[in-house]
Amino acid sequence: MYDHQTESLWSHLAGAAVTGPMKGEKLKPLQSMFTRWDTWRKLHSTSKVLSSGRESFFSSMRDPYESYYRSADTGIIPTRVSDKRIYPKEYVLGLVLNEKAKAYPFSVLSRQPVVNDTFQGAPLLVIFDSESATGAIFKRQIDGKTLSFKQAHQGAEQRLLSLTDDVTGSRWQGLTGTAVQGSLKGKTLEPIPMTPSFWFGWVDHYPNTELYLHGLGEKR
Amino acid sequence: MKSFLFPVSLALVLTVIPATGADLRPDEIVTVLPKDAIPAILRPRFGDSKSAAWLSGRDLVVGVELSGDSRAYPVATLSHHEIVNDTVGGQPIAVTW
Repeated sequence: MYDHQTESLWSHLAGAAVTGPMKGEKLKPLQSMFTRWDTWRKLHSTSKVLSSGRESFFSSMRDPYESYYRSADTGIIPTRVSDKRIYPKEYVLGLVLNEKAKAYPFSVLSRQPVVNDTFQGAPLLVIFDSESATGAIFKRQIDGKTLSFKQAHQGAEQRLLSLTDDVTGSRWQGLTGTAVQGSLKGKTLEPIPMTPSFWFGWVDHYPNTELYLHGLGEKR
Repeated sequence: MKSFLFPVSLALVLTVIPATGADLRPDEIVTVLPKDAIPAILRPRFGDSKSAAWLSGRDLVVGVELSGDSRAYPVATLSHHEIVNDTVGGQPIAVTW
């Protein structure tokens, strides 16, 4: 992508300028959620929706890349780095901390929807709501205290992922990282911006990325 | 132009901080389309969720919430524009796909 002000070229995955006057500069990533409309609506009932101006023409609203997502094609230009530890078109949650990258594949997270991890010295919670195939990453600390989480199987609100922490037993809404019951009610974990991406694109941008494979039952 | 065709969702704020981490290789940039062949949205318009009758529950969206201001950007629309320049919760952001 390019910016109008300087016509510098930017990598949209890395949010960094590659050529031009802004070369070397980086945009600050913000938390976003890649999810289904019904899940987003449950979490944010007053949310606005982007208009396309063509809502009345249903055929034009279809995503032109739907067959591409399902195919084995990896873009229109060959990648320089190829890493076959997982399927190239697998979705991963990509994370960069202290300029080091780590990827969490959806196939692993769907079997292990609550991951208490540590990366670059930071205690992280990686969650995955299977129903909507939505992932999120948080710093699993409240008031300086590190918490470990597990999935709660009862009392989940609106059938979305529910968790409890090992220190207070409070119940948490998994997708928002907010405690909804217990002594920590009202507290929210700090979200860590991450990028859902196809594996082939992520590893081509971050060739030395770590890859979370725990629970797959085999070393790669 | 684009160098890769793969969907990635990001919400980025337009303040610049120097950092590296990614292996960015300017010598590998290839122009495959003329500039603005896929036009970015510069002045997005929004409706409330009731107005989005054309959106089904299973449709994919990129959701952003900043300072209580929450917005959904349907992926099908993002695929036609790839970038939405918006201001959410007072912050200037770019939603890229």
